[in-house]
Amino acid sequence: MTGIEITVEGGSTAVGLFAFGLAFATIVVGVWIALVAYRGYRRSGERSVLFLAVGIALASTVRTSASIVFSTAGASSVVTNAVAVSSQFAGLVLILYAIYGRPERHGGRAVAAAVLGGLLTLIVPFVVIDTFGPNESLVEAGLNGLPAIVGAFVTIQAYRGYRRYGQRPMLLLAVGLGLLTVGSFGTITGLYVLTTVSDAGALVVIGSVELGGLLAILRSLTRE
Amino acid sequence: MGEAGDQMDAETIGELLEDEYARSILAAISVESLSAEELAEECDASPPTVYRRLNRLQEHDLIDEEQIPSPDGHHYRRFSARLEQVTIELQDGSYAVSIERTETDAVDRFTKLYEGLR
Repeated sequence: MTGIEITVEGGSTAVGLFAFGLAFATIVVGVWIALVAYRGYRRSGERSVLFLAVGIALASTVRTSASIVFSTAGASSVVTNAVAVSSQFAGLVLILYAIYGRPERHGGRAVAAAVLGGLLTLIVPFVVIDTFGPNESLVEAGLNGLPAIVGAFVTIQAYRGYRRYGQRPMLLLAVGLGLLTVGSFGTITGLYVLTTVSDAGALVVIGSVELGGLLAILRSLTRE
Repeated sequence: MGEAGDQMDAETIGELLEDEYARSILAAISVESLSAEELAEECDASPPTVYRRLNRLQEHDLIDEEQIPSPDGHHYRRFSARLEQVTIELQDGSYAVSIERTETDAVDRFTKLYEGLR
């Protein structure tokens, strides 16, 4: 492999290659989602749609790609996870604001709230590790709980939209957001409990769940 | 949502409701949601006339629209009235207009917004 090197301990080369393929697909699908969302905003030109588009991009694309880019660049897993979780959290705040707030009038406040929330989730793990000792996987699993709670709420709202209007894109959006927030949290927590899984194996399992989520969102955005 | 910050001046609301077509469109879609074609028939107006009024009403957030997917892939829109009450208050030499609109809930907004993004 040239340029990019993914180092994992334990697990065979096949698993490593599979993990690499997953990472690559995740970035491609993620960027694709961001592009489609941006095009959607350009077409509508509405500010609330912009908030929704940026929110979805942060909660899906940035979260998944940041994990890959940061860990590949050699950042520690705490840093990687903190960046991924905080960008997703900020994205979910923007989605909620697009739905509940009035982006046409007070957009600035929501951006400030999203940035502040994101920064807090970014700092929390370091404080926790500093205070309670370096049990990194536990902190990571715990931190993922925050976007998982907000994500579950957004997922339920999307699902209710599907139930009320019978629109399949809303169902796919619910599945995608659910996998990227609750699904990802459940998997990370599950793997933490099952300590027998190798690092590479864990990477593959989490990567698959997140790629599944991204594919559902992409399908929901592009489906006629 | 008729809270402050939603202010419209007396002239604007007057102009809006002065129009006969706008009034009959609003009245029709306060009963049931209708498509522009159905409205054209209902109000005995040409489709461009109906669309112009709908756009104006939409600018002022007095109507709601939902996208209805149809089997042949062409979405069409149905409109419903959001206007419930207009209050014009004359106090200390100025008019204050407040408008009460039908609440749309978060699920409605989410679905509609996402439809706008796709």
